[in-house]
Amino acid sequence: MNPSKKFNLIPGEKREKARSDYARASTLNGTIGTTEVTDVAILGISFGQVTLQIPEGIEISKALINDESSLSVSLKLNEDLIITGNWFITPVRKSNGHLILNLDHPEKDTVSALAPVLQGEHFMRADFMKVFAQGSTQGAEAISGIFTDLVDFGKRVPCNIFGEGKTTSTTFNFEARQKQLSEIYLVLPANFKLPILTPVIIEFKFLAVRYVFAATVLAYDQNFGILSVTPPSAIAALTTRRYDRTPCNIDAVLLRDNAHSTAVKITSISATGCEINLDGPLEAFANCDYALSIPRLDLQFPVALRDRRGQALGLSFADNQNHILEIRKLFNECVKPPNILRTPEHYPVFLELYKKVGYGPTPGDELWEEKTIAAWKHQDSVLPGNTIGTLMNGELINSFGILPIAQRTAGTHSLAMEKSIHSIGYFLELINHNLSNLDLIPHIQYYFGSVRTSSRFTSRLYTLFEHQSKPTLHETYFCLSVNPGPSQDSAPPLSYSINECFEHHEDDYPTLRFFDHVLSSEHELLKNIQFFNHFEIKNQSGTTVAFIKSLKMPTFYTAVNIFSVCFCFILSPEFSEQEALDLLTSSPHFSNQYIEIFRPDFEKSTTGVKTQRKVDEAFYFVFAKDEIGTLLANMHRAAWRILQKYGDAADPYLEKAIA
Amino acid sequence: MREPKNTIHILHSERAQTNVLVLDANSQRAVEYESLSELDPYLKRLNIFFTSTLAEARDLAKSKRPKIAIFPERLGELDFVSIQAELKNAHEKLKLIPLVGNPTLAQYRESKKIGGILDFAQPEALLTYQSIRDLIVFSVRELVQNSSLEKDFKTLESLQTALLVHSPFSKNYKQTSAIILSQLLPHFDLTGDEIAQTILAEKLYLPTLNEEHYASVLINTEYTLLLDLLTQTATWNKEHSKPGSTMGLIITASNYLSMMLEQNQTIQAIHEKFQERPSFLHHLSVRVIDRALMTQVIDSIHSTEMRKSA
Repeated sequence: MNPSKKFNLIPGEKREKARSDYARASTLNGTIGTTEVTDVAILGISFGQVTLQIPEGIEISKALINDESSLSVSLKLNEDLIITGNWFITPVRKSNGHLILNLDHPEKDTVSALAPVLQGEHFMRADFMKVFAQGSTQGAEAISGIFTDLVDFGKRVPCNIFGEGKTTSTTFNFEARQKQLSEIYLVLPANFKLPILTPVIIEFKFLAVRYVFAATVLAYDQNFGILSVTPPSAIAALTTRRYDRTPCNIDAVLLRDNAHSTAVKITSISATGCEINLDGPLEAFANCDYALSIPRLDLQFPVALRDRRGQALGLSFADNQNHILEIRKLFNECVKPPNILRTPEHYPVFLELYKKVGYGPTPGDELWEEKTIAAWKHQDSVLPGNTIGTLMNGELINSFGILPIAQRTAGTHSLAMEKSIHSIGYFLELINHNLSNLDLIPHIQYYFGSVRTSSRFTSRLYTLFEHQSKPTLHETYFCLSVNPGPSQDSAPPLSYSINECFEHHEDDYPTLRFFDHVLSSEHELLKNIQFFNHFEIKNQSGTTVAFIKSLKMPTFYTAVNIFSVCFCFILSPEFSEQEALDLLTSSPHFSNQYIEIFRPDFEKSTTGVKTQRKVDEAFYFVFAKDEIGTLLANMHRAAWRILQKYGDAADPYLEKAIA
Repeated sequence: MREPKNTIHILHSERAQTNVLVLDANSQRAVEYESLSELDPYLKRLNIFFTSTLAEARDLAKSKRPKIAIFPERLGELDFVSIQAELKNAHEKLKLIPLVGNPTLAQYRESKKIGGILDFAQPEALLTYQSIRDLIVFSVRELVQNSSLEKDFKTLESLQTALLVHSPFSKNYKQTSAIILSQLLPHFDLTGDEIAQTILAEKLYLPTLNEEHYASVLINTEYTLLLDLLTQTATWNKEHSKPGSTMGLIITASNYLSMMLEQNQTIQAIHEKFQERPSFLHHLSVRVIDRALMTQVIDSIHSTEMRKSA
């Protein structure tokens, strides 16, 4: 039952190797319990178990290993978190100056019945999978909470049943309105019948989280057209998106060594856009070069075999670095977003929306439209489909874009929403589609977002980050956010001066250190129009009281102009936000830029500052790319809460919220 | 109480779909509290609407029909009496909880004239999320518990007596059906309002009556809303019909069980009848009344009868 998959390389590295041309060292660094470890290698990954090799010199506390309690593990490969969470640790043997350890996941036995759908990788990161078990009060409450949400959702939530090699789709049925779900009712699927007491696995997706649980068939009730199954003893909640697939049906040709060709069909594409499944008369996949060609779209790119199940073949893109545009085109074609991509024929409706919500035109700039369109043309040529929107009755009601803002970081741009239920309802689709594209931007490791705390959606988002799903590599920073505007005439504080300087490093200030890391240099796709500059503010005695990281783009570059921003990090308690603001707003260096002021002790409620520009409290959040699933889950839940309050009017949009 | 292993409980059924309005002059705090309330397991299934303007509060009172409104002593130039009057105008059946320390006598009188002050709470309640959460939970719980049906019971009992006079059923049959109903209700995910409506509608239910009968009884009374629920019940006399809702099924099933007990039927016979799924029990909710629950209910009826006879 338990698939014991062994990898010679750790999965992240395997994927990276498959799609990039540089190899990475397969050694991890981090902590096991309280012990710092380096040069750790993964020897194998199986269901709920990872085998590690650590240098013998590193002593993991014997008392802890022999203890029955689990140890906190955090292992990284460069910047990527590979293993997190609590694990039971068992030493296996010593070999060639190395110690071999087994890490066993504490929930391994609880979810053993889910082995057909869970992979070893699901266990490796605490934020990829959470297990709720009826055995604990907390787990039982969480399961009851999940089902209460399903009951209250207002629409039947779809689910899939896997059993005895058969898979079928159906929906939950809570119309009996039982208070205690001692049986779970599902709408009886056509042509689906398994013997009573057959073990099955039920999978459903709700608010961007995939839940799976094991159950047993209890009865078929033809009278009411229902199938009843046992309630779960444990539920696994998954936010990793690597295994999510979007079905599609696209004719393609598989070319071998540029000679033999086989007609195939692309049957699905992964949610991250980097893997596809094929179906067709495929001969044995030999160890040679393959390419996939899609004549209708005029696309061709190299592919590598991932796995094979019967007639179905799983492929990864072998060199997505150099074929990023082709892959994005294929992704957009497969996923077929219900919204419109920003392409030249749609530029006028995008312009109209931004005018409506107040993003343009820039005062006094008569050529705003022309300049904006020129900027979009450049963006859309380097990253097609980076911005999408929803068209309703000929008018655009919302828009959302993702673009690189630094070499390893991408962020949201052109986020605009009309204040209407339609706009929120369709917004989830935009988020779903566009965050998937994050994997298809070269070099990106982080997603970087900034939101004002005063809006309904973002305040919910922040609350969710703080109180619910907190991904491992997630950071939230509060700041004072000042809207762009021309330089103020008021006299700047004379006791301080601003000077340009080289990039700075301040080890004692984690926020600055982190911003330096994620915003280290310009992204190669936009390096001709994106510029980082660094400044320092000194007092009269020459002490540096603040550092400034300025990211400049042409003013018309994005509709929101959000990437033209000056991050000011106050170092000295004697330098106030008001002084920083007065200094920055009167300086020509930062005119027409957002000004974001951070200080180490900044809390949500700050004393008011006075300026002619609009000031808000805001927070920045940074996610590792592979934790986007958690971000999506939070965004969906935040939007669902707003939709719920609209009552019946929200019904047409609820189905979109499930996805 | 039967408690199968791994049972999942649907949470806070009685409080579900209850809307609460909170007016807070501090707009940022209102947004923050509203976000926190949506994640709070204590407030699950309640809709808490926080707002900072009277205009929006009025709109919400009109459109969302909240049951409780909590508001501060002052909002701009308005004192709590004026806020109260505005909210009452928007939605009359609103329990008002002003956060007032010491109202003046004039305010108290004026407020009473409007029909407002029923409860006070401390002005500090809005200072922390914890305190406003406690106030909301307390107020909703009190509202659900205090929804006294005593007056309604008396009125409907007299209507029930009138109906029974012209029917072949005994008073004892309806007393037993009411007990069965009260035992079945906690096994269903019903809101406080739905439970109250079901208990009241059951008073008038008889398997020989139809929509016209109920309509003629309820005409010119304040219970015309019960008519909707009574039309969702089913009959097993003359024409069989299907229950139209879970509440309809519960009323029908409790009366059918009561009648079977009057006829001294065994649990086995009653269970078999339920298993046959006659049309008057043809609703998915009948699956909830399984043999274990049925046995538990019938045993408790028998023990009540034994106590009575002793």
